[in-house]
Amino acid sequence: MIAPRESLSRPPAGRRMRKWLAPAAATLLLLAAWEAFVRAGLVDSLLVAGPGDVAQTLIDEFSMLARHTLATGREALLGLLLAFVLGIGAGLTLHVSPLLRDATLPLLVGTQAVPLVVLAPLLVIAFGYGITAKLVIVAIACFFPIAVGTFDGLRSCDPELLRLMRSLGAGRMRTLRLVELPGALPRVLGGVRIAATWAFISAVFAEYAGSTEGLGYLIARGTPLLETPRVYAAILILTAASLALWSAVAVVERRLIPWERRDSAH
Amino acid sequence: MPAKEDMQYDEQSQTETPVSPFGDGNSPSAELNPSPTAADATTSVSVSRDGERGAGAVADTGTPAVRLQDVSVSFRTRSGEVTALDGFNLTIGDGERVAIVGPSGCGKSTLLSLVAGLLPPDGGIVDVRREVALMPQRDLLVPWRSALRNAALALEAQGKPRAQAAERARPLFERFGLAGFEHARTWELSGGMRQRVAFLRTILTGRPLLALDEPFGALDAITRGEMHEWLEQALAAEPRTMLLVTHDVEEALTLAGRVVLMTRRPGKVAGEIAVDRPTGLSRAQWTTSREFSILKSQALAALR
Ligand SMILES: Nc1ncnc2c1ncn2[C@@H]1O[C@H](COP(=O)(O)OP(=O)(O)OP(=O)(O)O)[C@@H](O)[C@H]1O
Ligand SMILES: [Mg+2]
Repeated sequence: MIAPRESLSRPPAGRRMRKWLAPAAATLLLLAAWEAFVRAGLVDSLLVAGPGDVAQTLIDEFSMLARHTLATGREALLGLLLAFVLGIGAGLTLHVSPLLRDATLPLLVGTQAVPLVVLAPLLVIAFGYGITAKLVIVAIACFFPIAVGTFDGLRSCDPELLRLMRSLGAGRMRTLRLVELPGALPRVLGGVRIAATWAFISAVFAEYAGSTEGLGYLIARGTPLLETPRVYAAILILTAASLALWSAVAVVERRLIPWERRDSAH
Repeated sequence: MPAKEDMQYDEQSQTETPVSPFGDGNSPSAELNPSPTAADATTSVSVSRDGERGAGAVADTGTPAVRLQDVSVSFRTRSGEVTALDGFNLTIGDGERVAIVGPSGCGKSTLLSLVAGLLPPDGGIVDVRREVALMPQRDLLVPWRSALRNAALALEAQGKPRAQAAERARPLFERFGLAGFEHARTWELSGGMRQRVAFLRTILTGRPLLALDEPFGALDAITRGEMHEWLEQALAAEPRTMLLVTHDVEEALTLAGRVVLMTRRPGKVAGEIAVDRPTGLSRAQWTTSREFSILKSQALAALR
Protein backbone atom coordinates (compact mmCIF):
# COMPACT_ATOMS: atom_id res chain seq x y z
CA MET A 1 0.00 0.00 0.00
CA ILE A 2 2.82 2.37 0.83
CA ALA A 3 5.63 0.52 -0.84
CA PRO A 4 6.03 1.72 -4.42
CA ARG A 5 6.75 -0.91 -7.03
CA GLU A 6 10.31 0.29 -7.70
CA SER A 7 11.25 -0.33 -4.12
CA LEU A 8 10.65 -4.03 -4.42
CA SER A 9 14.14 -4.48 -5.75
CA ARG A 10 15.71 -2.98 -2.65
CA PRO A 11 16.74 -5.25 0.21
CA PRO A 12 14.17 -4.12 2.82
CA ALA A 13 11.39 -4.76 0.30
CA GLY A 14 11.10 -8.37 1.39
CA ARG A 15 10.63 -7.39 4.98
CA ARG A 16 8.14 -4.71 4.05
CA MET A 17 6.18 -7.18 1.92
CA ARG A 18 5.92 -9.49 4.84
CA LYS A 19 4.91 -6.63 7.09
CA TRP A 20 1.88 -5.95 4.90
CA LEU A 21 1.27 -9.39 3.50
CA ALA A 22 1.16 -11.34 6.73
CA PRO A 23 -1.57 -9.34 8.48
CA ALA A 24 -3.51 -9.03 5.19
CA ALA A 25 -3.49 -12.81 4.75
CA ALA A 26 -4.53 -13.36 8.35
CA THR A 27 -7.41 -10.90 8.00
CA LEU A 28 -8.60 -12.48 4.75
CA LEU A 29 -8.54 -15.91 6.33
CA LEU A 30 -10.57 -14.67 9.29
CA LEU A 31 -13.11 -13.03 6.98
CA ALA A 32 -13.45 -16.22 4.95
CA ALA A 33 -14.06 -18.29 8.07
CA TRP A 34 -16.61 -15.77 9.27
CA GLU A 35 -18.47 -15.77 5.95
CA ALA A 36 -18.50 -19.56 5.90
CA PHE A 37 -19.80 -19.62 9.45
CA VAL A 38 -22.71 -17.31 8.58
CA ARG A 39 -23.49 -19.04 5.25
CA ALA A 40 -23.58 -22.42 6.94
CA GLY A 41 -26.71 -21.25 8.71
CA LEU A 42 -25.39 -21.97 12.17
CA VAL A 43 -26.66 -18.60 13.37
CA ASP A 44 -29.59 -16.37 12.61
CA SER A 45 -28.52 -13.96 9.87
CA LEU A 46 -30.54 -11.25 11.62
CA LEU A 47 -28.31 -11.51 14.65
CA VAL A 48 -24.93 -11.96 13.00
CA ALA A 49 -24.06 -10.39 9.65
CA GLY A 50 -21.42 -11.86 7.36
CA PRO A 51 -18.63 -9.90 5.67
CA GLY A 52 -20.60 -9.99 2.43
CA ASP A 53 -23.59 -8.25 4.00
CA VAL A 54 -21.33 -5.67 5.61
CA ALA A 55 -19.57 -4.97 2.31
CA GLN A 56 -22.95 -4.60 0.58
CA THR A 57 -24.06 -2.13 3.26
CA LEU A 58 -20.84 -0.14 2.89
CA ILE A 59 -21.57 0.26 -0.82
CA ASP A 60 -25.32 0.83 -0.65
CA GLU A 61 -25.29 3.27 2.24
CA PHE A 62 -22.06 4.97 1.39
CA SER A 63 -23.23 8.58 1.54
CA MET A 64 -25.15 8.10 4.78
CA LEU A 65 -22.21 6.34 6.41
CA ALA A 66 -19.83 9.00 5.12
CA ARG A 67 -21.90 11.74 6.71
CA HIS A 68 -21.86 10.06 10.09
CA THR A 69 -18.17 9.23 9.78
CA LEU A 70 -17.41 12.90 9.10
CA ALA A 71 -19.38 13.92 12.17
CA THR A 72 -17.47 11.50 14.40
CA GLY A 73 -14.17 12.38 12.73
CA ARG A 74 -14.74 16.04 13.41
CA GLU A 75 -15.43 15.37 17.07
CA ALA A 76 -12.45 13.05 17.44
CA LEU A 77 -9.95 15.33 15.70
CA LEU A 78 -11.10 18.59 17.25
CA GLY A 79 -11.25 16.93 20.66
CA LEU A 80 -7.74 15.56 20.14
CA LEU A 81 -6.55 19.00 19.11
CA LEU A 82 -8.09 20.48 22.24
CA ALA A 83 -6.43 17.77 24.34
CA PHE A 84 -3.13 18.48 22.57
CA VAL A 85 -3.19 22.18 23.37
CA LEU A 86 -4.34 21.64 26.95
CA GLY A 87 -2.04 18.67 27.53
CA ILE A 88 1.07 20.48 26.34
CA GLY A 89 0.07 23.55 28.30
CA ALA A 90 -0.46 21.48 31.43
CA GLY A 91 2.81 19.56 30.98
CA LEU A 92 4.70 22.81 30.53
CA THR A 93 3.05 24.42 33.52
CA LEU A 94 3.77 21.44 35.75
CA HIS A 95 7.38 21.49 34.61
CA VAL A 96 7.96 25.20 35.03
CA SER A 97 6.15 25.77 38.32
CA PRO A 98 6.79 23.41 41.24
CA LEU A 99 4.07 25.18 43.21
CA LEU A 100 1.41 24.53 40.58
CA ARG A 101 2.73 21.00 40.19
CA ASP A 102 2.22 20.21 43.84
CA ALA A 103 -1.14 21.94 43.88
CA THR A 104 -2.72 20.42 40.78
CA LEU A 105 -1.12 17.04 40.18
CA PRO A 106 -3.48 15.15 42.54
CA LEU A 107 -6.43 16.89 40.87
CA LEU A 108 -5.23 15.91 37.42
CA VAL A 109 -4.74 12.30 38.40
CA GLY A 110 -8.14 12.44 40.08
CA THR A 111 -9.87 13.38 36.83
CA GLN A 112 -8.55 10.15 35.38
CA ALA A 113 -9.97 8.11 38.23
CA VAL A 114 -13.57 9.13 37.47
CA PRO A 115 -14.79 6.65 34.85
CA LEU A 116 -15.82 8.23 31.57
CA VAL A 117 -18.86 5.93 31.44
CA VAL A 118 -20.29 7.80 34.38
CA LEU A 119 -19.04 11.19 33.35
CA ALA A 120 -20.20 11.21 29.73
CA PRO A 121 -24.00 11.36 30.34
CA LEU A 122 -23.48 14.05 32.96
CA LEU A 123 -21.46 16.13 30.51
CA VAL A 124 -24.15 15.72 27.87
CA ILE A 125 -26.70 16.97 30.38
CA ALA A 126 -24.44 19.91 31.15
CA PHE A 127 -23.42 20.82 27.58
CA GLY A 128 -26.33 19.54 25.51
CA TYR A 129 -26.54 17.30 22.42
CA GLY A 130 -24.26 19.51 20.33
CA ILE A 131 -20.55 19.10 19.59
CA THR A 132 -19.40 20.85 22.78
CA ALA A 133 -20.10 17.90 25.05
CA LYS A 134 -18.31 15.57 22.61
CA LEU A 135 -15.24 17.76 22.47
CA VAL A 136 -15.09 17.92 26.25
CA ILE A 137 -15.40 14.15 26.57
CA VAL A 138 -12.79 13.42 23.89
CA ALA A 139 -10.47 16.03 25.39
CA ILE A 140 -10.80 14.49 28.85
CA ALA A 141 -9.98 11.06 27.48
CA CYS A 142 -7.01 12.25 25.39
CA PHE A 143 -5.61 14.95 27.63
CA PHE A 144 -3.84 12.82 30.18
CA PRO A 145 -1.35 10.85 28.05
CA ILE A 146 -0.30 14.05 26.29
CA ALA A 147 0.13 15.98 29.54
CA VAL A 148 2.11 13.13 31.11
CA GLY A 149 4.21 12.71 27.97
CA THR A 150 5.04 16.41 27.91
CA PHE A 151 5.84 16.56 31.60
CA ASP A 152 8.00 13.44 31.54
CA GLY A 153 9.68 14.51 28.32
CA LEU A 154 10.64 17.88 29.74
CA ARG A 155 11.93 16.24 32.89
CA SER A 156 13.95 13.65 30.99
CA CYS A 157 16.47 16.22 29.77
CA ASP A 158 20.09 15.19 30.37
CA PRO A 159 21.25 17.14 33.46
CA GLU A 160 24.68 17.56 31.89
CA LEU A 161 23.08 19.19 28.88
CA LEU A 162 21.25 21.57 31.21
CA ARG A 163 24.57 22.41 32.84
CA LEU A 164 26.11 23.03 29.45
CA MET A 165 23.29 25.41 28.58
CA ARG A 166 23.87 27.20 31.85
CA SER A 167 27.56 27.53 31.10
CA LEU A 168 26.71 28.86 27.64
CA GLY A 169 24.72 31.61 29.30
CA ALA A 170 21.20 30.49 28.41
CA GLY A 171 18.45 31.46 30.83
CA ARG A 172 15.43 29.45 31.91
CA MET A 173 13.23 30.25 28.92
CA ARG A 174 15.96 29.89 26.34
CA THR A 175 17.00 26.54 27.75
CA LEU A 176 13.38 25.45 27.60
CA ARG A 177 13.07 26.49 23.97
CA LEU A 178 16.44 25.32 22.68
CA VAL A 179 16.89 22.09 24.59
CA GLU A 180 14.11 20.90 26.85
CA LEU A 181 11.19 21.22 24.41
CA PRO A 182 12.86 19.60 21.41
CA GLY A 183 14.20 16.89 23.71
CA ALA A 184 10.68 16.27 25.02
CA LEU A 185 9.28 15.73 21.54
CA PRO A 186 9.62 11.92 21.47
CA ARG A 187 7.62 11.54 24.66
CA VAL A 188 5.08 14.18 23.68
CA LEU A 189 4.43 12.34 20.44
CA GLY A 190 4.30 9.04 22.30
CA GLY A 191 1.54 10.55 24.40
CA VAL A 192 -0.23 11.82 21.29
CA ARG A 193 -0.09 8.34 19.78
CA ILE A 194 -1.79 6.84 22.83
CA ALA A 195 -4.29 9.70 22.83
CA ALA A 196 -5.00 9.09 19.15
CA THR A 197 -6.22 5.58 19.90
CA TRP A 198 -8.64 7.06 22.42
CA ALA A 199 -9.95 9.85 20.21
CA PHE A 200 -12.43 7.87 18.09
CA ILE A 201 -13.47 5.52 20.86
CA SER A 202 -14.25 8.38 23.21
CA ALA A 203 -16.09 10.27 20.45
CA VAL A 204 -18.34 7.23 19.92
CA PHE A 205 -18.74 7.01 23.62
CA ALA A 206 -19.87 10.60 23.79
CA GLU A 207 -22.36 9.94 21.00
CA TYR A 208 -23.69 7.00 22.91
CA ALA A 209 -24.41 9.29 25.80
CA GLY A 210 -26.63 11.45 23.63
CA SER A 211 -26.40 12.63 20.04
CA THR A 212 -28.17 13.08 16.74
CA GLU A 213 -25.43 11.97 14.38
CA GLY A 214 -22.14 10.09 14.17
CA LEU A 215 -21.02 6.48 14.10
CA GLY A 216 -21.80 6.09 17.80
CA TYR A 217 -25.31 7.34 17.11
CA LEU A 218 -25.66 4.78 14.29
CA ILE A 219 -24.48 1.96 16.52
CA ALA A 220 -26.57 3.03 19.50
CA ARG A 221 -29.70 3.30 17.35
CA GLY A 222 -29.04 0.33 15.08
CA THR A 223 -28.31 -2.30 17.70
CA PRO A 224 -31.81 -2.55 19.25
CA LEU A 225 -33.32 -2.32 15.75
CA LEU A 226 -31.21 -5.33 14.69
CA GLU A 227 -29.63 -3.36 11.84
CA THR A 228 -26.67 -5.67 12.25
CA PRO A 229 -24.89 -5.09 8.89
CA ARG A 230 -25.08 -1.34 9.39
CA VAL A 231 -23.77 -1.57 12.96
CA TYR A 232 -20.95 -3.84 11.79
CA ALA A 233 -20.12 -1.43 8.99
CA ALA A 234 -19.97 1.43 11.48
CA ILE A 235 -17.64 -0.55 13.73
CA LEU A 236 -15.46 -1.40 10.76
CA ILE A 237 -15.19 2.26 9.74
CA LEU A 238 -14.40 3.17 13.33
CA THR A 239 -11.57 0.66 13.47
CA ALA A 240 -10.17 1.86 10.16
CA ALA A 241 -10.35 5.48 11.26
CA SER A 242 -8.52 4.73 14.51
CA LEU A 243 -5.83 2.84 12.62
CA ALA A 244 -5.49 5.68 10.13
CA LEU A 245 -5.11 8.23 12.90
CA TRP A 246 -2.50 6.07 14.63
CA SER A 247 -0.56 5.71 11.38
CA ALA A 248 -0.75 9.44 10.75
CA VAL A 249 0.82 10.10 14.15
CA ALA A 250 3.47 7.47 13.42
CA VAL A 251 4.31 9.22 10.14
CA VAL A 252 4.59 12.56 11.92
CA GLU A 253 6.84 10.90 14.49
CA ARG A 254 9.13 9.50 11.85
CA ARG A 255 9.44 12.89 10.23
CA LEU A 256 9.87 14.97 13.37
CA ILE A 257 12.08 12.69 15.42
CA PRO A 258 14.19 10.66 13.01
CA TRP A 259 16.79 10.08 15.74
CA GLU A 260 14.39 7.77 17.56
CA ARG A 261 14.10 4.31 16.06
CA ARG A 262 16.27 5.26 13.13
CA ASP A 263 17.54 1.68 13.01
CA SER A 264 14.14 0.35 11.92
CA ALA A 265 13.70 -0.09 8.18
CA HIS A 266 13.18 3.34 6.67
CA MET B 1 19.86 32.51 2.69
CA PRO B 2 21.11 35.99 3.59
CA ALA B 3 24.42 37.17 2.21
CA LYS B 4 27.33 36.45 4.48
CA GLU B 5 28.98 39.80 3.80
CA ASP B 6 25.97 41.76 4.97
CA MET B 7 26.00 39.96 8.27
CA GLN B 8 29.63 40.70 8.95
CA TYR B 9 29.34 44.37 8.10
CA ASP B 10 26.41 44.53 10.38
CA GLU B 11 28.16 42.97 13.31
CA GLN B 12 31.38 44.89 12.98
CA SER B 13 30.04 48.28 12.15
CA GLN B 14 30.98 49.63 15.56
CA THR B 15 34.46 48.29 16.17
CA GLU B 16 36.86 47.98 13.28
CA THR B 17 38.69 44.93 14.54
CA PRO B 18 39.85 42.12 12.29
CA VAL B 19 37.82 38.93 12.30
CA SER B 20 38.81 36.91 15.30
CA PRO B 21 40.63 33.65 14.62
CA PHE B 22 38.17 32.10 17.00
CA GLY B 23 35.47 33.13 14.58
CA ASP B 24 33.31 34.66 17.22
CA GLY B 25 33.29 38.03 15.53
CA ASN B 26 33.34 39.79 18.87
CA SER B 27 35.74 42.55 19.54
CA PRO B 28 38.73 40.63 20.87
CA SER B 29 40.09 43.42 22.99
CA ALA B 30 36.85 43.81 24.85
CA GLU B 31 36.59 40.08 25.42
CA LEU B 32 40.11 39.54 26.55
CA ASN B 33 40.51 42.36 28.96
CA PRO B 34 40.61 41.91 32.68
CA SER B 35 37.67 43.35 34.42
CA PRO B 36 38.50 46.37 36.53
CA THR B 37 35.22 45.97 38.35
CA ALA B 38 35.67 42.35 39.32
CA ALA B 39 34.81 41.97 42.94
CA ASP B 40 36.91 39.59 44.96
CA ALA B 41 33.93 37.51 45.90
CA THR B 42 34.48 33.80 45.81
CA THR B 43 33.12 31.70 43.00
CA SER B 44 32.59 34.81 40.98
CA VAL B 45 32.51 34.47 37.26
CA SER B 46 32.79 38.04 36.27
CA VAL B 47 31.99 39.63 32.98
CA SER B 48 34.55 41.85 31.40
CA ARG B 49 33.47 44.05 28.59
CA ASP B 50 34.89 47.44 29.43
CA GLY B 51 38.48 48.57 29.19
CA GLU B 52 40.64 49.08 26.15
CA ARG B 53 43.80 47.15 25.54
CA GLY B 54 45.47 45.77 22.46
CA ALA B 55 44.37 42.41 21.24
CA GLY B 56 47.83 40.95 21.55
CA ALA B 57 48.40 41.86 25.16
CA VAL B 58 49.18 38.85 27.27
CA ALA B 59 48.44 40.16 30.68
CA ASP B 60 50.50 38.86 33.54
CA THR B 61 49.15 41.20 36.11
CA GLY B 62 48.50 40.73 39.77
CA THR B 63 44.98 39.40 39.34
CA PRO B 64 45.04 35.83 38.08
CA ALA B 65 42.27 34.55 35.85
CA VAL B 66 41.66 31.57 38.08
CA ARG B 67 42.55 31.00 41.70
CA LEU B 68 41.68 27.78 43.49
CA GLN B 69 42.78 27.62 47.07
CA ASP B 70 42.54 24.55 49.26
CA VAL B 71 39.50 23.38 47.33
CA SER B 72 37.73 20.18 48.23
CA VAL B 73 34.76 18.48 46.58
CA SER B 74 33.02 15.30 47.65
CA PHE B 75 30.06 13.46 46.21
CA ARG B 76 27.58 11.48 48.19
CA THR B 77 26.95 8.23 46.41
CA ARG B 78 25.18 5.00 47.29
CA SER B 79 28.47 3.40 48.18
CA GLY B 80 29.42 6.24 50.51
CA GLU B 81 31.19 9.51 50.15
CA VAL B 82 33.64 9.98 47.30
CA THR B 83 36.19 12.72 47.71
CA ALA B 84 37.05 13.92 44.23
CA LEU B 85 39.30 16.82 45.14
CA ASP B 86 41.01 17.47 48.43
CA GLY B 87 43.18 20.45 49.24
CA PHE B 88 43.60 21.37 45.63
CA ASN B 89 45.53 24.52 44.78
CA LEU B 90 45.90 26.10 41.38
CA THR B 91 46.44 29.60 40.11
CA ILE B 92 46.26 30.45 36.46
CA GLY B 93 47.54 33.78 35.25
CA ASP B 94 45.78 35.79 32.62
CA GLY B 95 46.67 34.45 29.19
CA GLU B 96 48.38 31.41 30.64
CA ARG B 97 47.91 27.95 29.15
CA VAL B 98 47.77 25.22 31.72
CA ALA B 99 47.34 21.53 31.08
CA ILE B 100 46.06 19.12 33.70
CA VAL B 101 47.21 15.54 33.44
CA GLY B 102 46.21 12.84 35.85
CA PRO B 103 44.87 9.34 36.20
CA SER B 104 41.25 8.57 35.40
CA GLY B 105 38.85 9.50 38.17
CA CYS B 106 41.21 11.89 39.93
CA GLY B 107 38.82 14.82 39.63
CA LYS B 108 39.82 16.61 36.44
CA SER B 109 36.30 17.02 35.12
CA THR B 110 35.15 18.04 38.58
CA LEU B 111 37.85 20.71 38.52
CA LEU B 112 36.52 22.12 35.25
CA SER B 113 32.97 22.17 36.64
CA LEU B 114 34.26 24.23 39.54
CA VAL B 115 36.02 26.66 37.24
CA ALA B 116 32.94 26.95 35.02
CA GLY B 117 30.87 27.83 38.07
CA LEU B 118 28.63 24.80 37.65
CA LEU B 119 29.56 23.20 40.94
CA PRO B 120 30.09 24.87 44.28
CA PRO B 121 33.10 23.63 46.25
CA ASP B 122 32.56 21.92 49.59
CA GLY B 123 35.53 23.79 50.97
CA GLY B 124 38.12 26.32 49.93
CA ILE B 125 38.03 29.26 47.57
CA VAL B 126 37.18 29.27 43.90
CA ASP B 127 37.81 32.61 42.30
CA VAL B 128 37.29 32.85 38.57
CA ARG B 129 37.46 36.25 36.94
CA ARG B 130 36.87 35.43 33.32
CA GLU B 131 33.90 34.16 31.43
CA VAL B 132 34.44 30.48 30.82
CA ALA B 133 33.93 28.55 27.61
CA LEU B 134 33.51 24.98 28.78
CA MET B 135 33.93 21.98 26.54
CA PRO B 136 32.56 19.05 28.54
CA GLN B 137 34.05 15.58 28.29
CA ARG B 138 30.90 14.20 26.65
CA ASP B 139 30.15 16.06 23.45
CA LEU B 140 26.46 16.59 24.37
CA LEU B 141 25.45 17.18 20.77
CA VAL B 142 21.67 17.21 20.43
CA PRO B 143 20.14 14.91 17.80
CA TRP B 144 17.45 17.34 16.67
CA ARG B 145 20.02 19.79 15.34
CA SER B 146 22.30 19.41 12.35
CA ALA B 147 26.05 19.47 12.93
CA LEU B 148 26.29 23.13 12.00
CA ARG B 149 23.40 24.15 14.20
CA ASN B 150 24.82 22.17 17.09
CA ALA B 151 27.90 24.34 16.92
CA ALA B 152 25.72 27.42 16.54
CA LEU B 153 23.87 26.51 19.74
CA ALA B 154 26.59 28.36 21.65
CA LEU B 155 25.52 31.61 20.02
CA GLU B 156 21.80 30.92 20.10
CA ALA B 157 22.13 30.27 23.81
CA GLN B 158 23.42 33.81 24.09
CA GLY B 159 20.43 35.12 22.21
CA LYS B 160 21.84 35.47 18.68
CA PRO B 161 19.29 34.89 15.93
CA ARG B 162 19.43 31.43 14.44
CA ALA B 163 20.51 32.37 10.90
CA GLN B 164 23.23 34.69 12.12
CA ALA B 165 24.56 32.04 14.50
CA ALA B 166 24.77 29.47 11.72
CA GLU B 167 26.58 31.89 9.42
CA ARG B 168 29.24 32.47 12.06
CA ALA B 169 29.80 28.78 12.57
CA ARG B 170 30.09 28.04 8.86
CA PRO B 171 33.65 29.31 8.16
CA LEU B 172 35.00 27.36 11.13
CA PHE B 173 33.39 24.22 9.79
CA GLU B 174 35.54 24.47 6.72
CA ARG B 175 38.65 25.16 8.73
CA PHE B 176 38.14 22.08 10.88
CA GLY B 177 37.68 19.70 8.00
CA LEU B 178 33.95 19.45 8.48
CA ALA B 179 32.97 21.10 5.19
CA GLY B 180 30.16 19.19 3.55
CA PHE B 181 28.87 17.96 6.88
CA GLU B 182 27.03 21.12 7.85
CA HIS B 183 23.65 19.48 7.43
CA ALA B 184 24.68 16.05 8.67
CA ARG B 185 22.64 14.62 11.50
CA THR B 186 24.63 13.96 14.64
CA TRP B 187 24.42 10.18 14.32
CA GLU B 188 25.95 10.39 10.87
CA LEU B 189 29.14 11.90 12.33
CA SER B 190 32.16 9.93 13.44
CA GLY B 191 33.38 10.21 17.02
CA GLY B 192 36.16 12.55 15.98
CA MET B 193 33.78 14.73 13.97
CA ARG B 194 31.40 14.98 16.91
CA GLN B 195 34.30 16.08 19.05
CA ARG B 196 35.29 18.77 16.58
CA VAL B 197 31.71 20.07 16.45
CA ALA B 198 31.70 20.24 20.26
CA PHE B 199 35.06 22.04 20.16
CA LEU B 200 33.64 24.50 17.67
CA ARG B 201 30.65 25.11 19.88
CA THR B 202 33.08 25.98 22.68
CA ILE B 203 35.20 28.29 20.54
CA LEU B 204 32.14 30.12 19.20
CA THR B 205 31.19 31.35 22.65
CA GLY B 206 33.97 33.89 22.25
CA ARG B 207 34.81 33.64 25.93
CA PRO B 208 38.32 34.50 27.14
CA LEU B 209 38.89 31.42 29.32
CA LEU B 210 38.86 28.08 27.55
CA ALA B 211 38.19 25.09 29.81
CA LEU B 212 38.63 22.02 27.63
CA ASP B 213 37.97 18.50 28.91
CA GLU B 214 39.94 16.08 26.75
CA PRO B 215 38.98 17.98 23.61
CA PHE B 216 40.89 15.87 21.12
CA GLY B 217 40.78 12.45 22.73
CA ALA B 218 38.72 10.83 19.99
CA LEU B 219 40.86 12.06 17.12
CA ASP B 220 43.48 10.21 15.13
CA ALA B 221 47.05 11.44 15.44
CA ILE B 222 46.97 13.40 12.18
CA THR B 223 43.69 15.21 12.79
CA ARG B 224 44.75 15.85 16.36
CA GLY B 225 47.96 17.41 15.07
CA GLU B 226 45.94 19.65 12.79
CA MET B 227 43.69 20.71 15.62
CA HIS B 228 46.74 21.47 17.77
CA GLU B 229 48.19 23.59 15.01
CA TRP B 230 44.96 25.48 14.57
CA LEU B 231 44.62 26.07 18.29
CA GLU B 232 48.21 27.28 18.59
CA GLN B 233 47.78 29.69 15.71
CA ALA B 234 44.50 30.96 17.07
CA LEU B 235 45.97 31.47 20.52
CA ALA B 236 48.98 33.24 19.06
CA ALA B 237 46.80 35.61 17.09
CA GLU B 238 44.43 36.23 19.94
CA PRO B 239 45.64 35.06 23.32
CA ARG B 240 43.24 33.44 25.67
CA THR B 241 43.60 31.74 28.95
CA MET B 242 43.37 27.99 28.60
CA LEU B 243 42.82 25.18 31.05
CA LEU B 244 43.25 21.92 29.18
CA VAL B 245 42.48 18.51 30.64
CA THR B 246 44.13 15.68 28.80
CA HIS B 247 45.41 12.13 29.18
CA ASP B 248 48.04 12.76 26.59
CA VAL B 249 51.32 14.04 28.04
CA GLU B 250 52.59 14.97 24.58
CA GLU B 251 49.51 17.02 23.93
CA ALA B 252 49.99 18.78 27.26
CA LEU B 253 53.64 19.56 26.51
CA THR B 254 52.76 20.84 23.05
CA LEU B 255 49.88 23.11 23.90
CA ALA B 256 50.54 24.30 27.43
CA GLY B 257 53.10 26.51 29.05
CA ARG B 258 52.66 24.70 32.32
CA VAL B 259 51.63 21.13 33.01
CA VAL B 260 49.97 20.29 36.31
CA LEU B 261 50.17 16.65 37.29
CA MET B 262 47.54 15.25 39.59
CA THR B 263 47.57 12.41 42.07
CA ARG B 264 45.04 9.61 42.20
CA ARG B 265 41.76 10.33 43.94
CA PRO B 266 41.38 12.39 46.01
CA GLY B 267 43.02 14.67 43.49
CA LYS B 268 45.83 16.91 44.61
CA VAL B 269 48.64 18.53 42.73
CA ALA B 270 51.45 16.00 42.43
CA GLY B 271 53.82 18.24 40.60
CA GLU B 272 54.22 20.87 37.96
CA ILE B 273 56.30 21.10 34.85
CA ALA B 274 57.14 24.40 33.24
CA VAL B 275 57.32 24.05 29.50
CA ASP B 276 59.81 26.43 27.97
CA ARG B 277 59.27 25.86 24.35
CA PRO B 278 61.70 27.97 22.37
CA THR B 279 59.91 30.41 20.11
CA GLY B 280 60.17 29.76 16.43
CA LEU B 281 60.31 26.02 16.88
CA SER B 282 57.73 24.21 14.82
CA ARG B 283 55.48 21.61 16.33
CA ALA B 284 57.36 18.79 14.67
CA GLN B 285 60.73 20.18 15.74
CA TRP B 286 59.54 20.61 19.28
CA THR B 287 58.01 17.16 19.71
CA THR B 288 61.16 15.50 18.40
CA SER B 289 63.56 17.62 20.41
CA ARG B 290 65.65 16.24 23.23
CA GLU B 291 64.19 18.67 25.74
CA PHE B 292 60.72 17.49 24.90
CA SER B 293 61.54 13.87 25.61
CA ILE B 294 63.17 14.81 28.90
CA LEU B 295 60.06 16.71 29.98
CA LYS B 296 57.93 13.82 28.86
CA SER B 297 59.80 11.27 30.91
CA GLN B 298 59.73 13.64 33.88
CA ALA B 299 55.97 13.91 33.60
CA LEU B 300 55.45 10.19 33.23
CA ALA B 301 57.69 9.51 36.20
CA ALA B 302 55.76 11.96 38.36
CA LEU B 303 52.47 10.37 37.39
CA ARG B 304 53.65 6.92 38.31
N1 LIG C 1 28.02 13.77 39.90
C1 LIG C 1 28.78 12.88 40.57
N2 LIG C 1 28.23 12.09 41.50
C2 LIG C 1 28.97 11.20 42.18
N3 LIG C 1 30.28 11.04 41.99
C3 LIG C 1 30.89 11.79 41.08
C4 LIG C 1 30.18 12.74 40.31
N4 LIG C 1 31.04 13.35 39.47
C5 LIG C 1 32.23 12.80 39.70
N5 LIG C 1 32.17 11.87 40.67
C6 LIG C 1 33.28 11.08 41.20
O1 LIG C 1 34.35 11.95 41.43
C7 LIG C 1 35.56 11.38 41.01
C8 LIG C 1 36.23 12.30 40.02
O2 LIG C 1 35.46 12.35 38.85
P1 LIG C 1 35.91 13.17 37.56
O3 LIG C 1 34.85 13.01 36.54
O4 LIG C 1 36.23 14.55 37.95
O5 LIG C 1 37.23 12.39 37.13
P2 LIG C 1 38.20 12.65 35.90
O6 LIG C 1 39.53 12.99 36.44
O7 LIG C 1 37.59 13.63 34.98
O8 LIG C 1 38.27 11.22 35.22
P3 LIG C 1 38.43 10.83 33.68
O9 LIG C 1 39.84 11.08 33.29
O10 LIG C 1 38.11 9.38 33.65
O11 LIG C 1 37.46 11.66 32.91
C9 LIG C 1 35.22 10.02 40.45
O12 LIG C 1 35.53 9.06 41.43
C10 LIG C 1 33.75 10.06 40.21
O13 LIG C 1 33.19 8.81 40.49
MG1 LIG D 1 36.85 13.54 33.15
